[in-house]
Amino acid sequence: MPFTIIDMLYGGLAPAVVALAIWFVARRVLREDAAARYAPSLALVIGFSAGYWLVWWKEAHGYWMPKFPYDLLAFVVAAAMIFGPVVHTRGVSRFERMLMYVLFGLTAAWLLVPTRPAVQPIRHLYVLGFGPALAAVAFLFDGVCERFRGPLLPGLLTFTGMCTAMVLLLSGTTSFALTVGAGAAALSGITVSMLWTHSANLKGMSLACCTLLCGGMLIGQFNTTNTTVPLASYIILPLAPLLMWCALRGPLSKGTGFVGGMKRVALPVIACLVVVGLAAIAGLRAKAG
Amino acid sequence: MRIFSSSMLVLALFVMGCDAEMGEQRTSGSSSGSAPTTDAGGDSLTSSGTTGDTGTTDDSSATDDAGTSDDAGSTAGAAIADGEVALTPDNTDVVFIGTHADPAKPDPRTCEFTDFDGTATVEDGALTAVSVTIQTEGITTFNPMLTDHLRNPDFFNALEYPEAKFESTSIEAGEDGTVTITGDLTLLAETKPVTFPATVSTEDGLTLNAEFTIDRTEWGMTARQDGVLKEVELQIIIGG
Repeated sequence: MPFTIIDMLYGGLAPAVVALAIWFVARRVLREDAAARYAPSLALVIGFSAGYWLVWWKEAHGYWMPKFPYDLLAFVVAAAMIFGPVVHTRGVSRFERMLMYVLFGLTAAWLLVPTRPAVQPIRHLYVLGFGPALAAVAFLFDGVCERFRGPLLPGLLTFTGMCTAMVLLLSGTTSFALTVGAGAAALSGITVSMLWTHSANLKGMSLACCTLLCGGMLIGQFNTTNTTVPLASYIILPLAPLLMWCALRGPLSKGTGFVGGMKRVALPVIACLVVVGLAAIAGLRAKAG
Repeated sequence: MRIFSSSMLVLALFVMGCDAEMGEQRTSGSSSGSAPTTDAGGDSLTSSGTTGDTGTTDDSSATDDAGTSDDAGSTAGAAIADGEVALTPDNTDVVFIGTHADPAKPDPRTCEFTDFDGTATVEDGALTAVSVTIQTEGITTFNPMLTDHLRNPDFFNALEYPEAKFESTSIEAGEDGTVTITGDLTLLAETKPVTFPATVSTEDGLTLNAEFTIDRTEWGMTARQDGVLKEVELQIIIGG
């Protein structure tokens, strides 16, 4: 068992409870427009940060200021907590929002891509690749958030986050798995809160959520020596929630209640399961062979 | 729809670029992993069985490139040439044993460094200096997933800290072939002094046998202490 009870409490329960509490406090304290944009973002990021820093404190790393680029993920996600809701302010056009996302994505990539000599010669290519990719994922995910209300979407995101943590665990880094796991736990708190605030829109947290998932996979891919987990696993998982677009029309869009909900999340769930399955099989094969 | 298409195009380009670059990274990773693989000693060694069971690297190479003629199966030590012994995985084992924190299920895990080089200096029949540089990505265990976990940021962080070093600062002779070796151990870019006893013979080549324990947290390897004990047993065997 790679995780201890303390890991579960700090990296699982604490983020979920904090996210739940922040969601309701933010919606009560902030004005309606601000609450709609900030509540999801604040709940996700403060919940995630609570788990992240509790685990950090438990692991006694001996330093608090970031030492490696991967240490910056928590700070980049925290920046997205403010940046995401701001670009959803009324009056900001889609084009302007896309530009802001690209700017944010490039900055995030510049901070997260390692600076060690082996990466340095082509580091700018990674930055130029990851930045627009993160922006595109967040932009497309905005549309998903606008179209799907209720606990279905945060539930799917929780599942995606857990699968992401699982892949990071299979790649051999427990601390990265705990980092993304804390985000998944915070998303589970938001899922629960959506049972009472069914009509809330989650687009305010779109950027923070995509930064966490894409950034988690980026640091996992760049900072582990694992040779068994397929590259596709790192790339497909953060894109899985975008498959919700396929549920807007056609047979997957039909049906109501539990069955209808399951049909809408079927494609992303299958994609996540396949990706985790491939990573697990690759690990087992390596162990056997 | 146009925005959707152009976004997917950007993504596809990134994925293709990523795939090509990552392929290179993976190839280099696996090549170092395949360096002199050994039977790393089974999955549940007890400390009493470590020396014999840790699996030496030289089962198929009686003579190495450095010209030494040692063999794990023989009793001859590592060959001394001009007062120096080239330490390689062919004549030296550098092994560490981590133990789980659960006292009911300690499951000691034996791990071996398979990529290192160094020098031992022998003057007038006495060992006077030892220095070894270890490539941390060359860790090998019985389980590829455990090997990955040890190489990654939770433990050795081999990509950020590719080298670990030991350099002796003094070697004091004791009785009956025992010596006390003091030196600087560099791990995760932290350099700390360590002192440990060893049994040394230079009669038929150099043989050295040392077993000691370090506290990994002193070098900043603090992660997962609730899962793996901070005390790590080290074994260094030259020649035997």
